[in-house]
Amino acid sequence: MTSDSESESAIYASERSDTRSFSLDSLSLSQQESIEGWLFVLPKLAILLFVIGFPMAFGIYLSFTESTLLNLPGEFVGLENYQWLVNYPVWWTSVKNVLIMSAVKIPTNIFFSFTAALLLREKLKGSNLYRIAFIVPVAGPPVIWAIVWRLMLFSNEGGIANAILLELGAISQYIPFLTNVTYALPSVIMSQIWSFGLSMLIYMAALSGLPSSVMESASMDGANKYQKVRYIIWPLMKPTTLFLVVIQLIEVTKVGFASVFVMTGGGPLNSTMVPSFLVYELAFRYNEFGHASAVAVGMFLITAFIALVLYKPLQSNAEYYQ
Amino acid sequence: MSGTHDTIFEEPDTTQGRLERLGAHAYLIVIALLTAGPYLIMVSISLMGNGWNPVVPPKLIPEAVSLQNYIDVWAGQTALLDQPFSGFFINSLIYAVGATLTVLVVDTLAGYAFARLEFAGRDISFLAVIATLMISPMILFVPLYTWFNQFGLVNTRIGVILPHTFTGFGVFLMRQFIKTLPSDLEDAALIDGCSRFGVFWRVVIPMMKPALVTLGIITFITVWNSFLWPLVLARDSALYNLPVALGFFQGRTSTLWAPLMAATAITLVPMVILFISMQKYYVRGFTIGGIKG
Repeated sequence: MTSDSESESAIYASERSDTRSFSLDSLSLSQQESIEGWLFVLPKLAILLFVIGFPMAFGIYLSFTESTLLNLPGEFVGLENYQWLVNYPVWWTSVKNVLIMSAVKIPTNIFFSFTAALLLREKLKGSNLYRIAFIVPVAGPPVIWAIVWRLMLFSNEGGIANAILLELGAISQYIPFLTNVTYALPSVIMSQIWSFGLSMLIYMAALSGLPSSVMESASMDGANKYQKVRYIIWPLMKPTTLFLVVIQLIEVTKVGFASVFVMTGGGPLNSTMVPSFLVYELAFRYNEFGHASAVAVGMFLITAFIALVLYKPLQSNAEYYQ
Repeated sequence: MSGTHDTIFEEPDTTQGRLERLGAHAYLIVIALLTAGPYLIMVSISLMGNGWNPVVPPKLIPEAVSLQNYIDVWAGQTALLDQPFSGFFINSLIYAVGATLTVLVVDTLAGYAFARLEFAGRDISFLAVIATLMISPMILFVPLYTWFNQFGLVNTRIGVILPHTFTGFGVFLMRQFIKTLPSDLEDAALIDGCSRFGVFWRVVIPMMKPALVTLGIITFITVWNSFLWPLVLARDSALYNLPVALGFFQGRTSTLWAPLMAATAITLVPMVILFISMQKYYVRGFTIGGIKG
């Protein structure tokens, strides 16, 4: 170590002496801190490299090969898998389906969670029971809500929803909820929109932080109930809403996997296929790891596109807080 | 009195206030029936010791309450997966505890460094950690399966646990929390000759209990409920966790609804209790980790 860099680090350290009063260490402080810093983050970075970094690189390479499980990586075939992908109608159906699911699921999630949180704030009788009822679906895995909704909707022998609707006289014959091309996708979507409990809790936390002075002054200004909600509370909830929309948009590719796995298997006639289930089928049922890797890369591109679109509103949200 | 309440509805002793509350109850009851109704039916069917069949009108209340389905499923005496659910329960517990402990150690260490230490490459490595929040497991599972296959990690418990530990959420949460703590004590301990790790272990960790509980609960519930990673990485049914066992269960024997509902309840009930009793921690984790970012 030269005396030059030593004095430099001494100056650097003394500049920071307002926060670190032990600056005159014999060893270069910044170097010591660098080593310590890397030692502290090393375990996490090692996991990231091993579980994401290398596998992603390997997966991208596989998407250019014709691979099976016993032949990994297989023969290099260039862009063949991608040519197959863009000409594969099931892929486009699955993308369309997951976009439709999200287009229904995200707004209904925001609507139910916001209205429920708002009403539970009114200290109604039985508020706790309602809250528990809304939380139950999100406490367990999506597999479970898919199973209980399959119990409601399965149709080979009727199913509970059909029986109830028949009793009520709402329908005159069974609706084949899960086995008909027209009904299957709406049924799968319907089974998913009741999982808004976590969003509701987050809205409730945000609402409890609302200053009561805001509401009082609004009452004095003669705002009616609708105006209070629409022009005072809703805008104040904007950061929360944005946060909830963003976390759901990022997970678009996750939507529907368990539901489709349990309720329809992607059918009938691929009408409920989603990209995540398509990858699963290609890899673990048809042993086409090259094609499956290309689909995975395709999903990554969708997520990256969403992230790019989201970048701007996220930036402005960050500024909002500064 | 009317000037001080900050609710939206009128006072409950007025006609208007009563009508408004009635409307709110009507709305909430309909939604509650749609969210929780199927789960009530699930519990009800699970208590029908003689089994349940789809008939019209559907039988939704058990004639005699029986725990027979629970006993059979727990001991593996049904035609479902010819394996006791107690084993899947233990697997779920092993995965959840293993991943939670790993995440707590690894993420707290990294979170501390990102909050307090200055080192070359800090910002870029923090960015890499945060970027994991954008990685959907759905993109990763085929590459990860093939990659783990090279190392013999498929069909092992460590292989199932590892993918639950990559998310940067915990690092971010810990960093945010540590930044709210005053650093005077740490500085004083350093001057007194305490090592960096000593400071972390003796000064920082004792102040972090609320954050550790938050991250621990969120991770535990997430891993308990995990479906994809065990589905992909546990090829042998002896390594299934509860959600994966349920997934296969229901496909093979769709007519055995009563035992299936008992199995579902065994998976769900512990999480409902944990979630509801710990919801404050759970929500705080999401608000610290998300909104204040």
